[in-house]
Amino acid sequence: MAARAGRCCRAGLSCGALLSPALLSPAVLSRAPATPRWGRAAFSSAPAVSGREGPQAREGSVRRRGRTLQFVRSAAPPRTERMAVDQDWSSVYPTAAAFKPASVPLPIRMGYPVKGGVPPPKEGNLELIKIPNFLHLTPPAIKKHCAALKDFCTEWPSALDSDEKCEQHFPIEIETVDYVSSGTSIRNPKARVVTLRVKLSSLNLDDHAKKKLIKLVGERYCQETDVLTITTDRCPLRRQNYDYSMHLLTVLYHESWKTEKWESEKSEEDMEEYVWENSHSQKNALDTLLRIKASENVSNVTKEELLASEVVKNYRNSVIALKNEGETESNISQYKESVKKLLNIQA
Amino acid sequence: SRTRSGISSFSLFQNQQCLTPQFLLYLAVPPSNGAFPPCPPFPRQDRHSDNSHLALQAKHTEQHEGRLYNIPLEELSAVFPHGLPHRFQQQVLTFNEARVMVRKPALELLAYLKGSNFSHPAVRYVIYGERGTGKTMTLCHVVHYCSRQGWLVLHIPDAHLWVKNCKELLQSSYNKDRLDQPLQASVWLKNFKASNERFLQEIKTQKKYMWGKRECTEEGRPLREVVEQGLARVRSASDAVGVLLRELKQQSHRGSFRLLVAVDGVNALWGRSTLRKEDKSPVCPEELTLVHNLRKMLMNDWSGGAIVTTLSQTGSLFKPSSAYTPQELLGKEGFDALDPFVPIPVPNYSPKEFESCYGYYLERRWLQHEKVRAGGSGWERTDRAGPGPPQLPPLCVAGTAPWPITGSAARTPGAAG
Repeated sequence: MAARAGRCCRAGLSCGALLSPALLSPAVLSRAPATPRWGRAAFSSAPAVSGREGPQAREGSVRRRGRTLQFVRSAAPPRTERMAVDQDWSSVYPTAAAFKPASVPLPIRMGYPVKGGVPPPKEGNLELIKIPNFLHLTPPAIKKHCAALKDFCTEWPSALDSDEKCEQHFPIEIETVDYVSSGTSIRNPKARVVTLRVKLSSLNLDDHAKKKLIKLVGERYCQETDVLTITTDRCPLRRQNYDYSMHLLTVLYHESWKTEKWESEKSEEDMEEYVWENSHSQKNALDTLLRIKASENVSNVTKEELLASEVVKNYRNSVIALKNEGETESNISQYKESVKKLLNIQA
Repeated sequence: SRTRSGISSFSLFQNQQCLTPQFLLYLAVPPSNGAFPPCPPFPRQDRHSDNSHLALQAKHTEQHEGRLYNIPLEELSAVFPHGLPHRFQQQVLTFNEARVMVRKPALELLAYLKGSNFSHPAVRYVIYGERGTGKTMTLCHVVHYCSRQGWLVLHIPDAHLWVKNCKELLQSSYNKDRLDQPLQASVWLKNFKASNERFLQEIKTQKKYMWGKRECTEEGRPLREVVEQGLARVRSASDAVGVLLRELKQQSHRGSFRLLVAVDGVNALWGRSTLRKEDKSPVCPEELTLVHNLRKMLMNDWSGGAIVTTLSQTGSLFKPSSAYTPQELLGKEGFDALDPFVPIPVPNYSPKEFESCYGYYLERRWLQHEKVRAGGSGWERTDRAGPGPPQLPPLCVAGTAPWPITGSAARTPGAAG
């Protein structure tokens, strides 16, 4: 017995010696420093505790589950509680990473709220983990990136200090995209696409040339911003696509200045905007005015005189506004007033 | 229930949010089974109506705006054998009287007509507005005024009827490329004759017209013979209409009569038609004799009268239901043909007009409200800063009620204002 006890004691001591560093974890020390948990007492007391009162995860304890022992580490408080307000955030999120609720000290809620409740909190929230976040791209982080890149950059020319000057001196903008990925090859077929943007106001085009150019390019011209966008990707290399887009621009410019024979057959349907001269409206107005003059026995009134008169000019402007800008209340009332003056209608 | 036994089938009103004049006319429609007798006319205070029918109608001015004036029923059938909106006709049957509200667009038009110079070419007026705002009623007001003043009124009630649903299309004998519409033409001739008997007797033809191989109308005969020829020989009705229009156009400048051309739904003349020829190819409106002649009439190359037209999306073909402006409905061709014209917008009821109409229905005991019996006005109108007529609470209850709707305005009169 004694030998067995001695053996056990020796075993217990050695086990205790082995166990004590494991048991003396910081959490355990911090939570329950006073309780000695080494030696036989540890073996004997813990199962009794766990058997009766259920596992208590708070306190670092040893549970017996069947015949095996499990060590339950206590859950550490989240890192957010130890974060200073003025900490360096780029060290928390140096690269793109998933959302870690314990590392982001923000009280975020996301998801569909329970009925009469609020959206779920951030702990264990799959919705927050799924979505891409930009926590690694905060302004201080960007500043650091720029500082790192500065060594590879040259100075911005001091003469180009405003957007207008940039546009004036460099009207053509070329846009290319470079792709980086982790893989065996640095090539990416999407990198050959070149987009050329230019404002038509910076090109030397007269009225006919501008209209012809717009008809030639079709969808590539944006009316509101007056920007022509040419995207080329038909060549395998970026340089080739760039050369091709410059060639396209040159050809368009020169072709739009030429006038072909068949352009004289341009009809009313081809017109981009309403032109009052030689339109039905002008004809009707002149006919009506001539008839009015004839009924008043006023002869020798020429068309040019009528066209130059104030009422006709007013009428012309109102019809042009109505046709080009569409029908609004103000346009229609302006048209009404001009017709009343033209036909001399008094209320 | 969704039966149409009552005026107010629930579905009718659920979509009605705004108080258009048509909405109020909907309220006035009696049930189709005639479950109750029409109200007899009874003398009343004329708080909302103006008995100034005979002499004063010509003197309608802005002070009469919003008030309703009466047209005697005999005159109504003489002036309007066709042309009144259907709902208004039912209201006339219900109340046994015809009350037309005097509104600003009509007053404006009448002012133009009074001040117009009849030696100048005819001015074209185009009445436009959203659906149900009272364009046809404005036109009818003008037509009534002109016929009271002794004008010859050429009233085409709905030009859309000439470009759709035509059972018979004959090839015109006058022009091989055109198509005649005998039924439509004869119906119109009958109504025209009913309203303009006097003129047809007085005006004489200026040319000899051959109808087919044997019949002809000599020069100098009254126009009545042309009309009767069209009614007797239905095949030549469309040509009779053409002759009539031509004669009137040529003779109006002499000054013996004033001519008013009133066309409702003029955008039909320049739109598309759903008619097809025998080989199933679509028919352009231009190929129809009636439309061709009417288009010529609407040109301003004649003098001695005026042309008043209405645009109408209801009944139009291939036009979206939100279209109401002149260019949208007339299209490029129509606009160029009618240009220069005077557009006359017709808005919804103003608060004053709405109150007048509402008060009229209350007086006729059409809308019933407990507070009226108690002596109040039936609803309080709180002063609202915003524009627009106050919203009536949903009066559309009891789809099976045979009697006029009880005002469930009784529920929340305050909400009405």
